This record gives sequence, structure tokens and C-alpha cells, in this order.
Amino acid sequence: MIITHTRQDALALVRIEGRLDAAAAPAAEKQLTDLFAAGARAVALDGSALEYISSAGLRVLLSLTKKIKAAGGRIALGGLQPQVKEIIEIAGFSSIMPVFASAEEARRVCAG
Amino acid sequence: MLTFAEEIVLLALDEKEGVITELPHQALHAAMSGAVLMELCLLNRVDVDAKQMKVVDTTPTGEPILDAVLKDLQGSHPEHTLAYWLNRMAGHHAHEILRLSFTGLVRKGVLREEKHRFLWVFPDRRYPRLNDREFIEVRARLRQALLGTDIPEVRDIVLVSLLNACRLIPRILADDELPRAHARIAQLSRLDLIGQALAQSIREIEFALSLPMML
Repeated sequence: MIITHTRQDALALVRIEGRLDAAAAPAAEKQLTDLFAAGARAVALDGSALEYISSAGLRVLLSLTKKIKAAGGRIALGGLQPQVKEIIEIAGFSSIMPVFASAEEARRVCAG
Repeated sequence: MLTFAEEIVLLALDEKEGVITELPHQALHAAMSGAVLMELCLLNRVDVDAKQMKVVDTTPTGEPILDAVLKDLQGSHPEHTLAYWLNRMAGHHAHEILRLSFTGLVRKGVLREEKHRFLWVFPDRRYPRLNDREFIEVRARLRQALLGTDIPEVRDIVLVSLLNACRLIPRILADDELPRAHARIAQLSRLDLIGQALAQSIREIEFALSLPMML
């Protein structure tokens, strides 16, 4: 799993590549927590290269969403591959963060 | 800190009788199994998705019951579903999980154990609450999760999911609070994949138990 991001003030476009599972979750959690600590309050998650997500990965996204929302920020997810989108839908994640067809739409919403 | 299984036992316990009366044994056993799987998930020992569950770290946790289950899971076939493991654990481990949960609550000073004889012959154990502190704390935390609008802590989401699966939410909310919390309960319960599988298992158990009455 590789997480890269680009920043523009409080806006961060975060790209997650590979598998977000129990093996990757601790590192992902740390990277995303560091990003939040560094002031990112509008986070657009680009899931176009995310190949798999498990319950451990869902918890990482949940934890980040909780932090961002508690700080009055915005978070959105976009560009998911079908197999990841299926899990996100089963877990009802669209009830806690908006999910868009493309990462660009997620970025636009977060940019405000 | 209480484990998920201990929190369920504490909330399911009839305060006056000191025993769990409202849940069918099979549903209670399924809930105990789900509680341990969730604990292992949060400790990053197992991971699940919508189709299967697998062990990702065999390092013992130090909790006897978690380690017994973890050892059993190590031989698991990677294609076994979550439902398979919930059923297997309900058959193989649930009784022990329940026993150790009561023991843990006694050790932690939450319950006390009373030994009786039923019909002067059969051993009968009851567990009245020794103090209300933990019960009040768990209940307050879950009420906040259910009646608030913020995203709760992951542990509380998991516990809501477990309690909803075994129909124990009415122990947390008053009758007039339940209707307005309905959508929130559904939302939080859905966020946890083990909770979803557990709810399905319990529905199947309840259906099976209802069959003799329908015949």
C-alpha cells in the first residue's frame, strides 16, 4: 500500500494505492493522522488505485473521517474500483462521507 | 477496561435475577463469538471482508479466551466465510467465552458470584452487580453514540453493532427514544462487517427456533 498526497493549504488530495488491509492499516493510520496533525481539514481521497479494502481499512477511513468532521472539516471519497466500491456500499460508508464516481469530483467538493 | 463480551454480559444481565434471561442461548452464544472476533479484529490479529475472514497475526494477546480462539482460527481455510466461523465458534467456544466473561467481571469487581442449588440438586450460579459504575459508564457511552450526531469511537460502533444484532439496544434506550434512534442504530450497525454477519446469524437462529411453533 502506498499513500501519496498533494497539499494546497488546508486541502489535501490523498491517493491510496494497493491493498488497505490489516497489514497496511497501522502505516496508513499513521500517515493520515500525520496529515491531519499538519493541518489538512479538507481531504479528498482518490481511490482509483485502491485495489482492496478490508474491515481494518474501513476503520482507518472511519477514524480519519471522525477527526476531520470533529474539526469542522470536509472529507470525500472518489474514483473507486468496483470491488472496493462494493465493500464501501455494503458498509454504508456513504452515510458518513460523500462518495463520488471520480476523484476530481471529491476534490471539487472538498475545495468548497 | 472491559472486553466486548464482558460489556454484552453486563448489559444483558437481569439486574434483579443476576442471570441472562431474555436472550435465547443460541443467540447469546453467537453474540459471544462475534464479540471475540471483533476484539481480535481491533487487535489486528484477524481481518475480514464481505466474503471471508483470515488470521493476519498469530502473536498471542495475553487474554486466555482470545488466544484460544486465535489458535483455533490459525488452521482456518482461507475461503471460510465469516458466517462459518461465527457458527463454529458458537459451537466450540461460546460457552467458555461466556464463563470467562463472568469470571472477568467478578475479577474486575463489577459482579459477585452467588452459588445456589436449583431444586436442591443442580448447581445454579447468579451474578448480581457489585457496583453500578461500569454499567452506567457503558450505558452512557452508548447513549451518546446512539443519540448524538458525531461519529462515535470505533469500539462504540462495534458494540452498538453487537448489541443491535442480539436485540439488546432496549437496555440502552428508553421506549420513547427507540423510534428516533432507529436510523442511527441501522447506520452504525452497518459500518461493521462482523456485526452485519452476526445479525444475519442471529436472524437465522431465531427463524430456526420459531419453526416448531409454526408447525
